Amino acid sequence: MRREVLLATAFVLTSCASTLAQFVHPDLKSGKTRVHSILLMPVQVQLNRVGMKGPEPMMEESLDTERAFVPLIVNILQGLGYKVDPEALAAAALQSDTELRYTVDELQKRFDNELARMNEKAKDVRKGRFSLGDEVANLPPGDGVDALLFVRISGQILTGKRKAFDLLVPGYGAFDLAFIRFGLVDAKTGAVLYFARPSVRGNIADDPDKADNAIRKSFENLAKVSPGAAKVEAQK
Amino acid sequence: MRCYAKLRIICSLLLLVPILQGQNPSRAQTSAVSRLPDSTNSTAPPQPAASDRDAAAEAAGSGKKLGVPLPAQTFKFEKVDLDLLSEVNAFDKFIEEKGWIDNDPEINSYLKKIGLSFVPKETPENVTWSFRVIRDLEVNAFALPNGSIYVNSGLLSRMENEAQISGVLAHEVTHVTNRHGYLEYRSMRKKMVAVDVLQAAARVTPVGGFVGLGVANALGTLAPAIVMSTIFGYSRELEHEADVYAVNALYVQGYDLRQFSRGFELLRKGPEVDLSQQPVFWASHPKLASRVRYVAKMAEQLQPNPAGFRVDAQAYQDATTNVIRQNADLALLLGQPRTALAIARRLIADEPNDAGNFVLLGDAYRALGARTPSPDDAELSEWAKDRTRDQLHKMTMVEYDRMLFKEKHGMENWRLNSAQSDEAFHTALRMDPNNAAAHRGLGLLAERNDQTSVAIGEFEKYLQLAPSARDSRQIKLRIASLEKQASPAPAPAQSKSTR
Repeated sequence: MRREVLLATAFVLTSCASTLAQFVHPDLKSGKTRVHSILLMPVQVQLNRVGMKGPEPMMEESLDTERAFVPLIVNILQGLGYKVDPEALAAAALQSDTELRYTVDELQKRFDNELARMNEKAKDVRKGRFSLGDEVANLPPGDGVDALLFVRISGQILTGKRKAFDLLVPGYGAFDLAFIRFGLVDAKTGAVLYFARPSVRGNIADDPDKADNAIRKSFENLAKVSPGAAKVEAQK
Repeated sequence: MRCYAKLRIICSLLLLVPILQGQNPSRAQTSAVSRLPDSTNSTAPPQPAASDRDAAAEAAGSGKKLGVPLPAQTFKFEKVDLDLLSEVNAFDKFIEEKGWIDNDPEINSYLKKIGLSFVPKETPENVTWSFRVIRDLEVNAFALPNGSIYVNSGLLSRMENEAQISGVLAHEVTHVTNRHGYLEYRSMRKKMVAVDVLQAAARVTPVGGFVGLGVANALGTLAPAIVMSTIFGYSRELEHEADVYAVNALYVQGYDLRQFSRGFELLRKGPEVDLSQQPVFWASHPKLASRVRYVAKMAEQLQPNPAGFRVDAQAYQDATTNVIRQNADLALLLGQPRTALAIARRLIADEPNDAGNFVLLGDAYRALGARTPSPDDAELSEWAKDRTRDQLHKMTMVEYDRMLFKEKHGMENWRLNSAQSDEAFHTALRMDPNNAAAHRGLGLLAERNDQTSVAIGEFEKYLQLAPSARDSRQIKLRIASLEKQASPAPAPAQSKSTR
């Protein structure tokens, strides 16, 4: 009984904090490739409301969260000295340029293809195994940037009744949860340079700032390996 | 602790009781559907025979379609339906914002024109008709309950004429007019409760062990209800009803009904090995074979002499060529070269003097790598499919391609494909000596065959002919990389010991 109480306490303590895992390409780690400027690809968020009647997609909230995450990520990256242009692939730019929209969509699909494997064998990012192919160079705003940043967020928001039900059944986490995936891709070769997958406890649809800490940690670790242009200038 | 485990099991069972005892509310709504004659077993005509086409048209216009029941007229919106409506409206917006819609005005207006010919005169409550194309290789079409009908470019690439796509649209229109989305959703929500309780039961039942967890995980991967019902297909009864309506609507519009079942046949036989474990409805629904049979039977009964009925292959070809070509590009990018090859062959059959079609053919042959142009029998066995699924799950596209080269006949296949690709590019250049894309293709082919200087030369010709091409940066980077490979490595510095 005492052991079970200890285990339960450990579970509660570990689940309170956001968790983080990250993987760096050997070229980035060795300094052969440097990332100073980043192009943020359109963020993709998929949130589900999980109730007693099953999961339901939260389309509007997902779109709102996508919009909310863009400034959050851009501010953190800029704070770390990276050059980021948030407007290059903003909704307005894509709406007015069909060709650009198709290119972006194709690259997003290509990333999702690789992401399935990266999730399985994330450690292989360290071996330089994953690449989107040099088609990434076809992205017009990609000219002049070092890397493209792909962001995927999936999350579950539990209803009150569902939380109460899940409390009765161990193995179910009776809390809201979001999984974030950051993939930093070389803008010329398509190689996946950095992959981080933090998770966040809490309702990110209501309060996107809940993810601030997890995002910041992810990019602080990137900055240790390859600092942003502004930091490099400052060091000089 | 033991008491707690018992309490959990009792809770789960208590939640199961109302589901096992309860009546499905959607049954009452669908009861009319279940009264449909089963045309697969019946020797009588599947529908009451219409005396003439005018009568059928009148029936279609008024919603009384040759014996098809009318649940839509008696449908009353409840809170759950309005919730679904708001979800699907958001889904519509989501698709639009994601940029998945094909912007080609020609194809969208063509689909709209056909689609609107099947809708009832009086627009049902909470429906706004729209017909649009999604850029997606998946062979599928789906209707949202709010009247948004989407056809994937993958499906358009598989169809041959207007009569076939009309069958698909008429079928999807029925899902909207007869409120199938709402009926299925009501039913689905009940089932979802059962699924959750079963998951819970699987976790708390000690005998389940790892098997129990496996069941829970499998059930847990179920897609959201709305996606399941609209994209993966409705219940057999509702799909049957939509088919019956579609056949009648096609008859009223004067289309050749045989094309509807021919369309199903085309969907069944794709150029790629079908590795999907949960196939979408239009691609390879398990009941597709029986649907082909009963639709063909209905066609025979309604049109004993189909001569003179519309097929409209040319109009379809004119409207869809651009979308189909884009679909081939998408197939090349996402590792489906056989799809691209099938499209290229089809485009060449339609327009044999277009150099662009031969460039596409060359690109498709090159992308085949060590694959055969069409799947051989060995690839189609269940064992081979499982193996391929496993390999694709573990390997990246590049790794998978490399592995195919090492397999038996891999290099031989590549030699054949490479020769075909080369021939196709040169055919394109004979038709149009300034075809930049053909030079690009020859460059990529030479690069793959380690002919560095040939590759550089072809890439340079490409850039001369198309200096502002979309992929000029990619090609310049390739040239730089090839030149780096070609230049002799600097002599290593002498070590101290040898000095």
